[in-house]
Amino acid sequence: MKHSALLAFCLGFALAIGACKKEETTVTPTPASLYDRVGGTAMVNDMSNPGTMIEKGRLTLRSVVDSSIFVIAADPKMQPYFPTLLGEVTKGDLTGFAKLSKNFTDFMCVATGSKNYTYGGLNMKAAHDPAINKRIPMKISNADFDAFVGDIGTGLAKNGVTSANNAQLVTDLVALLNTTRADIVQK
Amino acid sequence: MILNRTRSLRRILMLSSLACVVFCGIALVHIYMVVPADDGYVNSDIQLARIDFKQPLETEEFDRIEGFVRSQHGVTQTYFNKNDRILVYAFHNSQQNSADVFRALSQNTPFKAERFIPSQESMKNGCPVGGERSASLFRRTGKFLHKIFG
Ligand code: HEM
Repeated sequence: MKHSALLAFCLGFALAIGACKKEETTVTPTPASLYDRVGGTAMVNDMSNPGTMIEKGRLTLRSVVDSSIFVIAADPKMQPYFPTLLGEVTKGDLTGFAKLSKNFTDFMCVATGSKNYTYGGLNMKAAHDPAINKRIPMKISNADFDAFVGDIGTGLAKNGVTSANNAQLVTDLVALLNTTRADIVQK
Repeated sequence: MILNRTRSLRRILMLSSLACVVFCGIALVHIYMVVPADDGYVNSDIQLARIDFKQPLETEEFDRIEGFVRSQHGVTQTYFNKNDRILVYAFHNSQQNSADVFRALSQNTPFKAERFIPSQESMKNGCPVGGERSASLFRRTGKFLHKIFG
């Protein structure tokens, strides 16, 4: 008698847990992060660093950042904002350039949802405030923010992603960049 | 009297060596922070340069110029902003320099162009850490520190 009561209790308990579990498994899966959509954590060869592996998501974002730096360097509207960097690069001092490239890539990795990288630079407000970051000589206007985002769009296109072939990804990346506007535009 | 003097001398010595240690510590931390850790950039000697064209150009002329610059030894990548006629290219600064690329372009093509050089004032800006070229002492110190601390 004692045994059958215990058995009934255990059965009831197991059924109750089973029922709960069933409910849990019907939760809808979380959508893939932007980081996953640009390659995610799959390890691939890093062509510019032979013999090392890199996450595909980071590789994509780094290529986009590097291409965008070209576009920005060739954009006369951007030139007045980067006198320190341009001066250094012309002297052959690439430290600031390497740091910006790395920090921008780190920032994009974290912002798109990467779990394995961290951003160690200034926050967006401080980075674009001439009173705090001496490397930027003046406050940024709304129009120049748009021009900068346009240059990143050109950098994306250089990596084969355009509104024509992947409108959703372009829209989502631009929307992500736009979330920084309030901090960056200080004019 | 003599004892007092030795004592204050010893104190001065101790204070100045402490100041030295603190200063060196701060300098090393600064170098560590300024020289970035490896991510395919630190080892790289890639430099950017810009050439501005002062006359309207046809499509095939853009291609000819870009093709010429890209074919120069050490040049890895080019980008032409055709609206503003600005060419930006990347090169290994251990193999090439922007003055030579510009000279070769001027000698081999008829286009009116100008090598972009930032103002003297902006050339003075920037931190001395990292020095002129990748072999600088600061940079090597930074890389050494990154090797130790990651
Ligand atoms: C669209 C969103 C933007 C993002 C996500 C972004 C991100 C960044 C990051 C991560 C840094 C490095 C901060 C550090 O190293 O501590 C930086 C620096 C900088 N940014 Fe932006 N930025 C954006 C827009 C802009 C715009 C619109 C401009 C100018 C028109 C601009 C000009 C600069 C300058 C001049 C620096 C300092 C460069 C140097 O180190 O010499 N940024 N930005």
